[in-house]
Amino acid sequence: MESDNKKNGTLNRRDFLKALTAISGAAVISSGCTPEPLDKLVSYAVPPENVIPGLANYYSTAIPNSPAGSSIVVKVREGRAIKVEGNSLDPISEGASSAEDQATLQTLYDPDRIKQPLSKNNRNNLTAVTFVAASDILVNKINENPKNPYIITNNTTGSYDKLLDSFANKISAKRIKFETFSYESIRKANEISYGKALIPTYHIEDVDYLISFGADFLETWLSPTEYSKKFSKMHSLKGKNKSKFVQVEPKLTLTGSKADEWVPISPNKNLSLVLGIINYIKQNKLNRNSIPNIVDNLSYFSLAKTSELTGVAEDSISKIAKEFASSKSALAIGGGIASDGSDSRDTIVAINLLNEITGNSDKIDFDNFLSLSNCSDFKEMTDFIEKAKNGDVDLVIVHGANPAYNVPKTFGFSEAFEKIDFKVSFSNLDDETTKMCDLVIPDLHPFEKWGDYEGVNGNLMVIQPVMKPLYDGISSEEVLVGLFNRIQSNPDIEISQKSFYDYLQNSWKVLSGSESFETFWNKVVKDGGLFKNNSNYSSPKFIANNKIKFEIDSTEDRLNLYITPSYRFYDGRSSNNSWLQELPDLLTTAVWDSWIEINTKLANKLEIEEGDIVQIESDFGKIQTQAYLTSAMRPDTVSISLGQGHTAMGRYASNRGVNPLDLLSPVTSSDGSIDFTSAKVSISKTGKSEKFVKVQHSFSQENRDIAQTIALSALADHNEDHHDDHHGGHKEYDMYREYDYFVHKWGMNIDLDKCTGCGACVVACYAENNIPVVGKEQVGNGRHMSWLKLERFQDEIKDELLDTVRVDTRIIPQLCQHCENAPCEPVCPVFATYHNPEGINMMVYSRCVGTRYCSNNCSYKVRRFNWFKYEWPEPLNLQLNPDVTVRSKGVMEKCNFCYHRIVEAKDLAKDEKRKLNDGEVLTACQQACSCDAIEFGDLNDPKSKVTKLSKDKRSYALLEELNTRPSVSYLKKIEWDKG
Amino acid sequence: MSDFNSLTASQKYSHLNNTVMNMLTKPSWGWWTIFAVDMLFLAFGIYCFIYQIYTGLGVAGYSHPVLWGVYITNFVFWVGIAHSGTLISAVLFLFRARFRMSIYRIAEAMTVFAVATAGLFPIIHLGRPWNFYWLLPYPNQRGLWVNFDSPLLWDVFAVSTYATISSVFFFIGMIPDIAAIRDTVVGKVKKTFYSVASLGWKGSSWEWGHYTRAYFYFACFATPLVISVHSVVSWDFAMANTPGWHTTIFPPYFVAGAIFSGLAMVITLCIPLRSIFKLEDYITMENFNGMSKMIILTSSIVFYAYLTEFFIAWYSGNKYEYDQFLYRANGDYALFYWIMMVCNGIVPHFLWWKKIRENLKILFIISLLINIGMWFERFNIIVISLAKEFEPGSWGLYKPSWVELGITVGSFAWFFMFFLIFVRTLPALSIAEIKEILPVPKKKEEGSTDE
Repeated sequence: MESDNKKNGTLNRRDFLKALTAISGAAVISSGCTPEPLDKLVSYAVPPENVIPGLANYYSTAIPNSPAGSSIVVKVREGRAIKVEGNSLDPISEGASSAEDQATLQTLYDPDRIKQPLSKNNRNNLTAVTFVAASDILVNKINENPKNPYIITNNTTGSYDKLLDSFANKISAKRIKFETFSYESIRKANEISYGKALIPTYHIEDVDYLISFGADFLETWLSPTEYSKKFSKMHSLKGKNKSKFVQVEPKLTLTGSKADEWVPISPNKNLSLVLGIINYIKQNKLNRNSIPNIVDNLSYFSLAKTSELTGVAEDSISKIAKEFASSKSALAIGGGIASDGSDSRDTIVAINLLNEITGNSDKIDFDNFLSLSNCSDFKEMTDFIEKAKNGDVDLVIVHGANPAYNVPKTFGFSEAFEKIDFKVSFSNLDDETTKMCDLVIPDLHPFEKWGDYEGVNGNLMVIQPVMKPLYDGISSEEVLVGLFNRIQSNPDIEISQKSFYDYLQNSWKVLSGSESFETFWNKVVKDGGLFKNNSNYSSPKFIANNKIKFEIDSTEDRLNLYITPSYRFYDGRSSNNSWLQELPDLLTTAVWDSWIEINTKLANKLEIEEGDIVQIESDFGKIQTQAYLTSAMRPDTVSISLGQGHTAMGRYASNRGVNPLDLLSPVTSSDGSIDFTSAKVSISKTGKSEKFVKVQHSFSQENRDIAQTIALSALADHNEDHHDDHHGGHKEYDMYREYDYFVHKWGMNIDLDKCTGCGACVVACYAENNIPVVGKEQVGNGRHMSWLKLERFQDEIKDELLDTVRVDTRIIPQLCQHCENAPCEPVCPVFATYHNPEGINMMVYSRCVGTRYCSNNCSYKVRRFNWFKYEWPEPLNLQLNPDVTVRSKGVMEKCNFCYHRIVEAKDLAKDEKRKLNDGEVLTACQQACSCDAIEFGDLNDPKSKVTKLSKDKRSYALLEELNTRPSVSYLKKIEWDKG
Repeated sequence: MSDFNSLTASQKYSHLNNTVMNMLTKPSWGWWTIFAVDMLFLAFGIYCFIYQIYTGLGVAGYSHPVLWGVYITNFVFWVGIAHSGTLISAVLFLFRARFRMSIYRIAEAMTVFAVATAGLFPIIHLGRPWNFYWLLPYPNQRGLWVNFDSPLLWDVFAVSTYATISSVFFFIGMIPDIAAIRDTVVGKVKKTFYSVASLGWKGSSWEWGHYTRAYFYFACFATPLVISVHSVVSWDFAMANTPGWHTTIFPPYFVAGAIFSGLAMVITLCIPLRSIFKLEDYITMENFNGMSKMIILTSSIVFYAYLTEFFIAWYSGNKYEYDQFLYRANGDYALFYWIMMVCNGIVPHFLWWKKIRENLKILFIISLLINIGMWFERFNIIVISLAKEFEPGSWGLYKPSWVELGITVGSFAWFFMFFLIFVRTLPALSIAEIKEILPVPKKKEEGSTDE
C-alpha cells in the first residue's frame, strides 16, 4: 500500500503529517532559537560558467607588490577572491608569499577605496563624475598643451611601462619612476665596480659565509621573499655543517635576529668597517685576487683605527676578516636603506671590492637584475620640485606613487605640487598626494585587471583579473589607451589597439615563438607568467673605474636617527590595511602605531621609560612618539620605523603614528639619492606617557626553555640512542588508555632554525580562518585574536668580562599544540572542545557557552575568546572564507590545523579513489611560509616528512614535562659555538 | 531590656514572642530608605548585566590570559559565605552547641541568600549566558550531553544540591515559628500567607516528635554538604593544571576558608541587627565568643594553608609553582596578596583577647576585614595564577572594569534585598529553639502572671 503510494508519487496522510512536522519544526528552530537571524541564500537564476558553488577556482596572477613583485595564485569562491597563495611555478618565490602579499586581499576589499572618478568643482570640492566625463576633462586639459607635463609613477614594468613611455612621448611629458627605496646607491656603485648600473641578484643560497652590512634582506631589502627562500637554503643544516651569517647594523632587525653573529655599528660607519676588513685581509695576505688600487690610504684603516672609528672590537673585525677570507664561498652584501648615508655608494663599492679580492664576485648576478634598476634618480624628483615651485609645470599625472608622503618634507614636494595647475591621480585610495589633486580616476586593483609585471629581468608575470571589479571601474591602463588617440599633440605617435588587453597581448606576441599565440597565451595566463630560472648567469667583471672616497664625518654629540623600512608597510604604501596594522611588529610586538626605539642605557640616563612620549627633534623638524626600550641597539642611535604617520589614505592609516621622514635634511647623499641618515636628533621627554600597546608583555623565557637551541657541536655528538632516552615520552607511566588513531593522526613540525619570523603565516591564518581584527585599544586590553602568534624571547646575557650585554633573540611560532592529553578537553562542561579521531583538538563554536575554562587550563595559552561581535566593514566581509565559520560573540576559538583543508583533500582523494598523499594537505601557515619552516602531515604514516622530522635529533615538544603530548613538535634552533 | 534576667520564666517566654513579633511589624521609614538605596544598587547591577549581554563579555576587564576574574571570585566568595549557615545550624546542632540557638536562623537565611547570589555568577560570567541550560544534563532534542569530566559540571551539581538542601532545611526549621506568628498576626493577607507557610502546624506532641526527628535527619544530611560543596568548588581550580591552582591542599583549605568567611559574615550581619531590633537579650556575648573562637580556629587553618603553599612551592622544586608564589608575594598584585595575608592571617588573632572579642565595634571591624581578606583570597588565587602561567610569552595582567564592579555591587544589593525582606517577614530568631534554653515556666507562676 505504502510502496504503491510512493510509486505513484503521491503522499499518504501519515507521510504528509511527518513532512509537515519536520518543516514546521525546522522553521521554529531556525526562526526562534537562533540568536541571529539567518540570511537567505538565493540560487543563481543563470549559473555562471566554471562556478560550482562550494568549489574554489584558482587563478594565477601577479601583484606588483614591493619591491620585486610576486607571482601568486588567488583562490576564488563564488566570484570573490578570498585567499592569496604564492605561485609554486615561479622560480623566485617557489610558492611562498610574504605578509604583504597575503594582505593584498585587504587592499582589494579596502573599505576606503574610491569608487568612482572625482573632479574638483568650482567650489574646490571633489565631486563624483563618470569615467567618460573624467577622461573628457583629462583629454581637454592635455589638448590645451600644458607646459612641462609630468607623469610620476612607482616602478612600473612590462607593457604598462611601455604604454606610459609612449603616452609620455605623446603628450611630451617627463616620466619619473619614483620609489622611496630605489637602491640608487647600489646601482651607482655597481656602475663604478662593474660598469653596470643595475641592481643585481645576489646568490646567497650556496655560500658558507654571508655578511650583510645593514641589508635587511628578510624584511624589505630588494626581494625579501626570494631572499628568505635562499637564506633558508643557505642557512639550513647540511650534514654536520652549517653556513654562518653575520649581520652588521645599528639596531637589531628581524634579519639581524637570525644572524649567528650580530655586530652593532652606528649608521654611516659601514665604509670604515669594510675598509678595515679589506686592509686586514691585505696585510695578512688572505686575498685570493689582487687588490686593485682604488682606495687611497688603505693602510689608514688599521685594526685599531677601524675599531676606534666604528666602535667594533678589534677581535671582532679580525675574526670576521679571517673567516670571510678563508671561507670557500662567502659573500658580502650591503645597501640597506637606512644604514648608509652620504657615502652609501662608496660603501657598496668597498663591499664589491671585498667580494672581488676574496674571489666571490661570481655570486653577483647582473643577468637577473631587478627592474628596480630602472627607477629614476632622485635628482629627477628634486628637479621636478624645483620646476613646479617656479610654476613651470602645468600638468602632472600620478599613479602608484605617493610622493607627498614619501619625499622627505624638507624637499618641499607638497608646496611645489600645490602650485601645479592641473593634477591628476590614478590612485584608488585618497592618499596625501591624491588629496591635492584636481582629478581622481581610481585604478582597479591588480585582481580586477589585465597587465604584466617583470620584477626580475626576464621573469615575466601576467596579471589577470580574477574577479569582476568591485565597483564597475576601469583600469588606469584602459583609461590611458582610451585617451591615447584623442590627444592632438604628436599625431605620429599612436597605438593601434583599442584596449589595453589587446595592447598587452600584442607586446607578448614576440615571446610566443613557434607555438600559436593562443596556446602560448593561454599557457602563460594559466601558469601566471613566463618564468625564468635564475640559476644561470655569468659572473661580472670587476673594473673599478673610480676611487673610493672616504671622509670622516664631523663628530656630533647628537643621536643618529636610524629609519628602518617597515616589513609590514614597506614605505607606507600598505598602511591602510588592518591585517598589517594588527600584525605585530616582530621584535617589539607593537601594533597600530609608531614608536621610537631607544637603547636601555641611554633611556635610563634620560629617565625615559617604555610608553613615555618623547620629542625627537632634528634641525629640520620635530615629531613626538612613544618610547620603546631595547638593549639590542647602539646607544648613540635611535630608531623609528617607516610607514605610519599618514595624514590621509583611509581609516586604518590616517592619523596614526609619525613619519620619521619629516626629520630628514634636504641634503642628498653624494650620489644624489635620499640620505636616510641625514638627520641628527636630540630626544627629550614631554612628560606625557601612554600605555605601549604590544602583543607580548614578557620577553624573557624565565629559564623555561620555550624556544630551545642546540649548539652545532652538540648536534654532532647527539646520537640516536641518547635521543630516545629523553624524547621518548612517558608512555609506560600513563594512567589512561591511549587514543586509537585508525586512519590519520595529524601533526606539525616547525623548524626554529629556518623560521625567520616574517609574519606571513600569521596574515595567512587571518585570511584563511576569518580571524577578526580588533584594533589598537582591544589589543591593548589583551584581546588580540591571532591563532598563530610569533613569540619572541630576548634574554639578555651579560658578559661580565667585557661589560656588554648580548641579546639572545629567539622566535617561536605559537599555535594550538593539539595535545593528545589536551588539558582543555576534559574541562569543557559541554563538549565544545573535543579530541577528534584524527588527533585534532576540535572546537565546536556553536556548542560553546563561553566558560573559558579551556583557555585557563591551556598550558600554551593559544585559545582566543570572542569578546565582542566583531565586524568586517563592507566590503571586507566579501573576503571571508565560506569554508570557515565566522564566530559569534561569546565563544572560544583557536587553530584547528585548517581542518576544512584536510576535509577538502580527503574528499578529493576519495573521489579519485586513492589514498591521501603525504604533503597533499597544506595548512595556510605552511603554504605561506617562505622559508619552509613548517611541515604538516600524518604522524600515523611512518614515511611522512612530518613523522621523520618529529623524530629528528633536534625535535622537542613545548613544555614536555607537562605530559600534554603535543602533536606539534619543534626543531631546535642551531647555534654556532661561542668563540 | 537589660533587666531581662530579672523577668520570670513566663515573662521571658512572652518577651521572646513579642520581640520576634515586633520585628515583623510595619517597616519604618528607615527600613524603606535602606531598601530603596539597595534597590538602586541592584538596578545598576542589572543594567550592567544587560549591557554586558548586549555588547559582549568584552565590557568586562578580562585580558588574555586572565579569562576568569571578579565574577568567579564573587562566585567562590558567596559560596563560601553560604557555608557557615549550614555549619551553625546543622553541624553545631549535632554537636549540641548551645551558642548556636539564637543565631542559627540568621545564619541559615544568609546561607540561602548567599547561594542564591553565588548561583548567579556562573551564568553572568558565561560568554553566552542565554545558553546556560546547556550545562544541565537532561534528555533534549539537541541530542547532546554534558561532560561529566568537567569540574564545572560538578559545580552545577554541588551548588544546586546545596541550594536545595539548605532551603529545605531553612524552611523546615521555621515551621513551628511561622505557626506561632500565624496565631498572632492580624490582617487577612498576612494570616493567609503564614497559614499556608506553616503547613497546618498545630504544635501537637505527635507533630513535635516527628518534627524533631526530621530536623535531626536533615542536619545529618546537610552536614557532609558543608564539606563537599566547597571541596567541589575548589576542584574547579585544583583539577586544572595551572600553577597556583593545581594542589591537593585546596579542598580542606577552601572549606576552612569558607567557614571562616561565613562566620565573619554572620558577625557582620548580627551586630547591626542586634542593635537595631534590640536583641541583646538573645544574641549575647556567648554567641560572639563562640563564633570568635571558631574564627580563630579557621583563620589558623587558612593561614597554615597559605604558608604550606609557599613551603610546597619551594620544596617541590617545581619551577612554575615556585615562580608563581614569588610572583604572588612581590609581583603586580602583591598589594592584594598582602591585604589577604594581613586580614586573614594576622587580624583574626586579635580575637585571642577577650576584651577585643567582646568589644562589638572592634569585632564588627574585624569581621569586615575578614570579608575583604577572603574576597581577595579568591581574587588572588584566580587572577594571579592565571596572569603568569607556564608560557612567559603570553603573560598578561587583568584589571576589573566598571561593569564587573557594578555587577559585584549589584550582587551585594541582591543579597541584602533578600535579607531585608527576610527580617521583616520571617522569624529571625528561632522562637522554638530559644525556648528550649529558657527556664520552663511553672504552673504556680502561670497563675501568678494571670493576676
